Amino acid sequence: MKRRDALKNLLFASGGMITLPAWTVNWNLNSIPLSNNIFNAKELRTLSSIVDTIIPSNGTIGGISVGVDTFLSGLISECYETEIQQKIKANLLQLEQNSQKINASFSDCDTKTREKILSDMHSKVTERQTFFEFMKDESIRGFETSEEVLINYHNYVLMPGHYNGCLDLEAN
Amino acid sequence: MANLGGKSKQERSFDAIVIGSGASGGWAAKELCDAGLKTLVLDRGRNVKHIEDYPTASKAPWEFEFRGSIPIEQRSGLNRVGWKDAERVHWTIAEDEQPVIFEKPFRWFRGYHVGGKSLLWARQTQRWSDFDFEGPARDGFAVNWPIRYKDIAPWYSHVEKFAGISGSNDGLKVLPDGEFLPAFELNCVEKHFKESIKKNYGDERHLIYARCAHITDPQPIHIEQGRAKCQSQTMCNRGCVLGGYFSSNSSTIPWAMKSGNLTMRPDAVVHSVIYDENNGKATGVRIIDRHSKEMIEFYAKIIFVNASTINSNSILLNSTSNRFPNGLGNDNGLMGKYLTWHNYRGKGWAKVEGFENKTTSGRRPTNAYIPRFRNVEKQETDFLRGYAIGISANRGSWTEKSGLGEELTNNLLTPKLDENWGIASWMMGECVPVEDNHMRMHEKETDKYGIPKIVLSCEWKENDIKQADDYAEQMYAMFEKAGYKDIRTSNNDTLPGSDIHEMGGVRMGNDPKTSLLNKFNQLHECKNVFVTDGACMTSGGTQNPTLHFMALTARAANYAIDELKKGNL
Repeated sequence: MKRRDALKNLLFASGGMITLPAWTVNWNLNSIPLSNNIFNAKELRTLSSIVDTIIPSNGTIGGISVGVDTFLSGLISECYETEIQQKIKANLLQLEQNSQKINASFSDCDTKTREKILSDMHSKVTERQTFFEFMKDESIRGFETSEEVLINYHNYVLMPGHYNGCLDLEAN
Repeated sequence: MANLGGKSKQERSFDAIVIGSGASGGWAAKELCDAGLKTLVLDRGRNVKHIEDYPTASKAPWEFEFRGSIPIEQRSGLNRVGWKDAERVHWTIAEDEQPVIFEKPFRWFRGYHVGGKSLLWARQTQRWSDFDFEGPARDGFAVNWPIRYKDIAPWYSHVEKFAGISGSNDGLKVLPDGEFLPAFELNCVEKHFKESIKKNYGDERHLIYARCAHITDPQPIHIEQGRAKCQSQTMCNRGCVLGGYFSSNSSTIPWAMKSGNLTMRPDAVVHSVIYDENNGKATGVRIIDRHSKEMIEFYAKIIFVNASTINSNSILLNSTSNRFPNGLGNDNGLMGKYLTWHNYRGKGWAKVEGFENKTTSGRRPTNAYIPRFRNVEKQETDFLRGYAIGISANRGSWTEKSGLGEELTNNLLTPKLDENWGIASWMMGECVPVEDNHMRMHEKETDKYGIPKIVLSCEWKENDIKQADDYAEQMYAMFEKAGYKDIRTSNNDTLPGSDIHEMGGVRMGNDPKTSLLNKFNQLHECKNVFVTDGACMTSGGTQNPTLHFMALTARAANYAIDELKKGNL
C-alpha cells in the first residue's frame, strides 16, 4: 500500500529503523472482516433499497457503490442495543407491508414511490430519530466517511504534512 | 508475608524503582538508566509498545468499520470517564478496575497502560515563570515554593531539546522562551486577533503561538530516538507511528530500554512502598500482579513515585508502618490535602467577518495562546491569581443535507466553506489550593486488589467562580475590540477535573512541618523516596503542567544519581 510506503520512507528518512506492525499492511476495506449480521437476506435487500433511495447513484457514485448498505447492516448489528435493533427490524417489515399495499416489494417500486413510503416512516427508533431520520442520518454518515467521497470530493488528506494558515481562495 | 514472585530476591533487586511510566515516570527512567542505574519501571496497566500497540494510528475514517461507533461488546463495562470514541476507546479503563468514592462530583481521567497519559495529553508545553513560583508566597496561600525559575530553567531546556518542542521565542517575562523547533503558523484570523490585542492592550496582553511537543524539524537527538517529523495528521491520541509528538512510548522508554538498564514490569498494581524502620529508608515496593493477584516485592536503593497525582498520593497514604501510621512521610498529616487542578470553567466563541477569501490547508496540532495577564506584577482584582487562554480560529466546511435522492447525493459531494471564520477560546485558570480539597483512603472499603478505595473530595471554590466570571467579561471585551460578532462567553459549572490536570497532595516546600517534599522532591522524612509527578505541586500555575513535571523529574533524578554516588542515599 502507498501509505505504508510513505510511512516507511518517512521513518527511514529520519533514521528510524522501525518495523511497521502487520496491521499497517491491511489498510483497505476488503481486508476488514465482515461483522456479525442480524438481518436476513430479505431485510438486507430492503436496507440496500433504502440506501439507494436516500443516496442514489448520480451516474458516478452513490450510497451503494461506496458500501453504505454494508456499513449500515454492520453498524446496526454491532453498535445498537437489541431494543433498537428490534424496532429497526419491525420498521423494515412495516416498510415492506406499506409497499405491498401499493405495488410489490419496496425494492421494485419506482423512485418517487420509494421516497414517499420511506419519508412516511415516522415511528421513533431511537430517542430522537424516527426510522426515516435514523436511516438518513446513518446513510449520510456512511457515505461521507467513505474513501471515495473523502478522497475524491472532500479533499481529505490523511497525512497533510503541513499547515497553511492563510490560503487565498482564488489560488485554490 | 509477600510471595517471592517466582524469582530470587536478587532477581527482584534493582538500583532504582520508578512507579509509573507516564510522562514523568518515563523521564525518571531515562535519566536513571542513562546514568547506569539498573532501573525497574512498574506500571499498573498493560504494556503498550511504540507503533506495534497503536491499533488505530494513521487509520483513515473509512478504515473504521463502524465509522466512529464502538461495538456494544467493546464498550460494555468501561469506566464512565475515559476516551469514548472508536479511535481511542482502547485507552479507557474497565469500570471495576479501581472504584473511587466521589464525595463531591469530580471527573478523573485515568490512563492505565504503559505510557499512561503521555499518549493522551494535549502536548502543550508552556514554561513557568517566577510570577508562578512566587504566587503562594506573594498572595499568601499554600506554602512558598522551595525553588524558583533559575533552578528549573536548565532542566526545561534539557527536556525540551530531547522531547522536541515546536515554538516561537516571544520575549515575554510571563512566559519564558525555550529551546524551540520551528512553529506551525498562526492563521490569518489569529494574526488579526494578535494585532488587535497589541493595539488595545499594549504590553499587558499578548497572543502567541502555543508551544507544543511536536517535532517540526528533526534534530540528531530525535533521529536517534527513531522519531520523525510531525506530518500534521492530528490523530495524536491514538499513538503516532512517526513519533511526531512526545510520549514515553515513542521517546524516553525505548531510549532507556536501549541502555540495557531498564526492566519494564507492566500489570503491576502498586500496593505500597516498603519502609525499613531500622535504617530509616524505603527498601522497595509491594505490587499486586493484575492478573494473578499475587503480592510481589521488589527492592531498590531509590524509589521514584510517578503514578499520576492521585495514585501517587494513594500509594504513599497506603504505605503505613509503625513509624508512619498515616502514610509514608506524612508526619504533618497534610498528605492528600491541597489538591488542585485548573479552572476550565470559561469558554468563548465569536464570528469573524472579513477574510471571506481566505482559508487554511493542512492541519495543525496546536493553537494560539494568551499567557496570563491578570494580577501578574501585583494583585489587581477581587480574585487571586489569573488565567491563560487557548485560542483557535477556524473556517469550517459543511454539506447541505436536506432532501432525498440524487439532489442529496450531489449536495453531499459538494462541501461548502462556512461563510465566516469562527474563533474559539478556552480558559485555563490557576485554582488556589485549599486544605479542604483533598483525597484520603477509605477506612473499610477496598478494591479488587485489596487496596483501600480512594475517596475524592474536591470542588470549585468562590475564587474559581469569580476568576471565570472575569474571564467571560475580559474575553468578551477582547473579541468585541477586535470587531468580532455574535460573541458568546460563559462561566460553566463544568466538573472539576475535566482539565485532566490534577496536582498536589504531596507538595514541595522548605519546611517539613508544612510540606511533604523538599526542593529536590525527596520526602522530608524518607530521603530515598522522590515524588516528581503532579502530586509534588505546591501550586498549579496556568500552564498545562506536563512539561513542568518532566523538568522537575529530570532535575530530581540527576540529584538522586549524585547523592547515590556520594553515598548519601
